[in-house]
Amino acid sequence: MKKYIVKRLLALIPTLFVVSVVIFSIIHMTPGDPAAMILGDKADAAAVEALRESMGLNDPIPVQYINWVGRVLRGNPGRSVFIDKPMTEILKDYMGPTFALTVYAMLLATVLAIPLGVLAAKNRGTMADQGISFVSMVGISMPSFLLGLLLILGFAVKLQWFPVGGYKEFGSVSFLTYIRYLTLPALALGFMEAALIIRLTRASVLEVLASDYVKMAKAKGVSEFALVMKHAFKNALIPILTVLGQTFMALLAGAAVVESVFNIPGIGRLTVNSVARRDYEVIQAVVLLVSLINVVMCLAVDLLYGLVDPRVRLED
Amino acid sequence: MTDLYAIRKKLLKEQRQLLVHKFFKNRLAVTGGTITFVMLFLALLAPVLAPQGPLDMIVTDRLLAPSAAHPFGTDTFGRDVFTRILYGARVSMAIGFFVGLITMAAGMLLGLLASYFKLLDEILMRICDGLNAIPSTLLAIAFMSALGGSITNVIVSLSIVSIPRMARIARSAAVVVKGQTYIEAVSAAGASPLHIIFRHMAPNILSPVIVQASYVFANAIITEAALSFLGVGVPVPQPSWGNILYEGKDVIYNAWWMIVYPAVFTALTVFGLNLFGDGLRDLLDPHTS
Repeated sequence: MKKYIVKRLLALIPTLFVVSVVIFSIIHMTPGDPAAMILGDKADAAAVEALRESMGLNDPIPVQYINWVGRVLRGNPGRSVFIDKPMTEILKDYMGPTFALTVYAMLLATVLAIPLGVLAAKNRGTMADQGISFVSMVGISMPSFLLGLLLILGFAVKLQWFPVGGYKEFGSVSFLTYIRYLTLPALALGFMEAALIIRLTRASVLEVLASDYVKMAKAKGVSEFALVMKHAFKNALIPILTVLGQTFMALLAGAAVVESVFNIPGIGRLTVNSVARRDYEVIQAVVLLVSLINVVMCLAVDLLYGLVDPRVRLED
Repeated sequence: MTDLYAIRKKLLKEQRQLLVHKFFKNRLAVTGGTITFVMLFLALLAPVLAPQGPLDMIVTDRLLAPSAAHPFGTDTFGRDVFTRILYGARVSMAIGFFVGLITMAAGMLLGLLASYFKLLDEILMRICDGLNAIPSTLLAIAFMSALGGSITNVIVSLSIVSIPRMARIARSAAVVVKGQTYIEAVSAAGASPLHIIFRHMAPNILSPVIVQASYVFANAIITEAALSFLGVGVPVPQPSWGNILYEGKDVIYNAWWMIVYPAVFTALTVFGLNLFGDGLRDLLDPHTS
């Protein structure tokens, strides 16, 4: 296991290098001078030159890269031209709503999707199965922001069951109100992932149900319920668990768009607003943060997998 | 020699006929293909079908509900929503098509080269891993923020974020092909690596690559709509499904038609492409489904 952990950690080095180079280059992809882009057409040459100097844009590119990585490692990934706070504090302020939304969407997606997937597999080929398959096919074709807009139209504008958007700080209102504000966004965000999990659960339970040991258990007279829940589901869980890690990341990244639909002050909306303000260093910091969470998440899933399944860690 | 050639031609023809026959027997593929075809048709014929120009404003006709004159209503500037959706289909289809094509060409090239040259493989695959670690929507937003909003930049950004996956798929298919005996035979006969790669390997990895390209196409349409909706994709006032939604969000209390119609068109197109992709996969690449 130790060897496996070391191997996985070493494999991170090239990945992190590429991630950092790509994110570093974002600011240099602007047509023309980034400093002039940030300050706009009306800025005078002296101000542009001062900003160039303070951003370190006059250094050769490799030096700029090394300085940038150094600052990131010291926990200071740049400065916002718009919000007068250290970057880490900005990220901390905006991460809360995003995280709450992601976790809630994840909960909704798994709580609805896994039972539906098992149900579809158990009743393969029936109306229920086809119905569930159709819903998941629709879900896969329904991007979160479209679903979000349609949910707002139906449940907020017409029926007025939920607010059209906004976010309430946890603790500042009753728990029910807090949840009411987050429910439509979480549904919009979680639906596509739920659809994917339904498909996967169905396929993976079907595969296990077709295996010899399940047939054996059936022959032995194990009840239908115990068969599905105890024998089939447990073994189908391993691939599902891996996907849950990916789901979390997809939701975290997808939150960027949903936050803008529902006016939730999370890191996604921060990014989109920063585009209009040409606040490139904030965009870099957010993309970097989410990518790092992704890398750590993948590592955790890999290590967990190695722990559960010895074949993985003994490979080559 | 001519006989053999004729037999080969006949066999290939039969194989093609069988594929076509199987395609039309596959309900998913036919439904998806029909939806896609209808959308392409609407996009191509937009100038003929649209009652007015996509930028024509009639200030007195602002935010009219759907009627005979304006089947999908009008928007905040008095433009016909039906017209803008038809022209938006052109933008979506063009972006999806070019992103699919560029991704396919670049991904195939990288995958093939990686499967053949070991050092290049290490380097390219590490770059793909790195790019894959950055969530694609966020990366696309970041690229768009630096490049600026335009259709070309949307195509460039979306291609960059979809190539790594395509390259991986092409590579794993190419590695399997490379292990076949006939490649060994061609190689022993003295064929150059480039000849082997492009003449003998490339045609045999087309199936998974084409299937993936259809998903890239669908994904590009979704992401373009999302980027434009966020105001970082196709710049206003150009008609794009995302732009109509972007403007519709501000008047969601007064004009449901600016949300529902573009949403239905986007979802239906993506649904059709996904079905078509699933059908293609069943047909061309049955062992992966």
